[in-house]
Amino acid sequence: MEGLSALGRSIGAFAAFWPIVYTLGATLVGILIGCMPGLSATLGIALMTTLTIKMAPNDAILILICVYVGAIYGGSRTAILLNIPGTAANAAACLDGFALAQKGQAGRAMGIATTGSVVGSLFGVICLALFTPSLGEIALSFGAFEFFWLGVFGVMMTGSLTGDDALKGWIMGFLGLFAAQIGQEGIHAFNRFTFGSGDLAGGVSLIPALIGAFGFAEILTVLTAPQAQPIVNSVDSVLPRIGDVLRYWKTVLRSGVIGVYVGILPGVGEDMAAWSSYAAAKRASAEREQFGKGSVEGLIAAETGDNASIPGGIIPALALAIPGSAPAAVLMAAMIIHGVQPGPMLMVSQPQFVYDVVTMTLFATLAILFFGLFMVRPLLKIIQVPRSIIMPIIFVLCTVGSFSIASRLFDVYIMLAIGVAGFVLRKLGYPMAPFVLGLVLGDIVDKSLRRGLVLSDGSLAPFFTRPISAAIFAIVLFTVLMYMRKAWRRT
Amino acid sequence: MKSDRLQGAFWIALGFAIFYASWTMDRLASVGVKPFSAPGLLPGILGLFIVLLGVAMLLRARFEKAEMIEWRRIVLPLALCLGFAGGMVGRGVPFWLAAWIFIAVMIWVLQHRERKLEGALPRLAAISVSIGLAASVAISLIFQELFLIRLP
Repeated sequence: MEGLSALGRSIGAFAAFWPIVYTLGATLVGILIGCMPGLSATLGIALMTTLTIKMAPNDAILILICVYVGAIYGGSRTAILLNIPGTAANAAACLDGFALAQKGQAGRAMGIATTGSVVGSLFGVICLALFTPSLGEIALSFGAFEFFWLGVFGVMMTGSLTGDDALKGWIMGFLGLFAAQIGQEGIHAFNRFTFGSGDLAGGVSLIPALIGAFGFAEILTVLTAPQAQPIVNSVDSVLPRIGDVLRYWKTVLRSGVIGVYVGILPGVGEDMAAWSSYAAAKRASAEREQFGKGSVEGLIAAETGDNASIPGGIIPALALAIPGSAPAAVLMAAMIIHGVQPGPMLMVSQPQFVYDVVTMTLFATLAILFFGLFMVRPLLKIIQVPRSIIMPIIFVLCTVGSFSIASRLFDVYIMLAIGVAGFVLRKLGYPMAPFVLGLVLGDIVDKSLRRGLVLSDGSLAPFFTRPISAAIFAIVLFTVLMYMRKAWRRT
Repeated sequence: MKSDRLQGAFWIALGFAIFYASWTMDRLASVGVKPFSAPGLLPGILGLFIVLLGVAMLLRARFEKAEMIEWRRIVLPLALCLGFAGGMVGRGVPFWLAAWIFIAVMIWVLQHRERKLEGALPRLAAISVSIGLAASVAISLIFQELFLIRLP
């Protein structure tokens, strides 16, 4: 009851002129970012974090959440019309979305994508409202030992599940954890790996690093690939058919649950949610032979799954300060920049904020419904703008964005260095998401390990004997052994 | 660096370097810090794990078809990006001017071959200069005037 009244207060506060303007504007920006292959939700949130840094915290976070939801939804446009996922999350939507478009049903496919995205997001929003406070309450009993393993768990899971090779994923995760150790550490204020440089003492800032990994590296990748032309230009009705949702209600519900669950898993993002939902729908479907050939059920499953995982990914970011995905990691960093400290104490110190986030996600969901119904044709024009015009402008934004967080030129150089390294590593098959998670979780892992050891006077036993700690360790060990075997079998 | 073997060797070298730097890092014993709270503890462990993963990669030695990087295609845009962000920005050139030059030259470089075949180079010059100017002025105004953010 208390939660409901807090939610009511939030909705009341956000149902005003400026929040609605911000919602519509930011969701549109997010959709445009998602529409353009090469621009990810992570980059969109990172760039908008720099742009909104002087705004009031609630307005800035509202804008970032709208960009996040908009970008994941917008990527389905390019998946359907170009057979290229606008963001990694929409790769599963390519299979059936593009096949439907080839059959002259591009509009129907976009309508289904809109319906799936909206329903998935709404399901996720309900879970966000229900589970965040309870998870936060459970997390109040967590100590340094549990947080150490949670951080390790996040890095290992992302390493295992993103990309094709767990070994490469783990290396990137450890590299990210290491990059987070550069600079002044938080316990004894000792400068690590700074080589006497005052700039390095400030550490590797997250936003410039992300802009490098997801912006500059992506620009270079896009410039080396041939540009695809929209194959489908004619668009039939985009009005979502309620019948499609009702007919596949079980698939919608299943995909929503899978999406939220995958979202909650630390570091595992929207792309994995979409693929898992798609695979589960295919297994359970009576029309499984239609999957990949223009199945409405397949498209609905993929789009419901990826959008449900957005609120799912925000749940652990708010309750545990362990983000569920790379975009959620940037969102969490932005919250910290704006003075909100996510983690178990959030429900104690700023309980209203959780419901504010629920409301923001709800508003973003309504905005994608609006744009999905009324802005289809103008959006189609966007994906036809040549990348030779878009990419130089995006690079200028990447430069400004890296600089504006702390007005340091050094951050621009960090962006450049991580961008070039990221481009080469990507080409060699190393995923970027584990690096980002490592960078975000590095501080928690370091402090938790040393604090835990101080508390236990140097004994490692509590890391393995405290019940929750032991359970998380067992999951980490199981994951590593399972994927180690898999990685080895590929020889 | 196309094979697991080379990459494995690289990670082993990097991991050892991290481990060595962590091992030789000041453990702050002189100010009463216990060894298990030393600043180099986690970086050292990470270095060791990177070595282990590098060894696993080396042992696996799976030769895979790594995607070839088309450096010839990327070298000029890359040089322009590095020249703009590393050489022009924050070094006395007004930001709007640096951005204008960068965007115009970059569009010219990326579309040059295609437009040359069409005999439309003068049009390309006009397009790249005008888009560059419009974009740089818009970015400067939006960041500096609308969102009050300092530009480099």
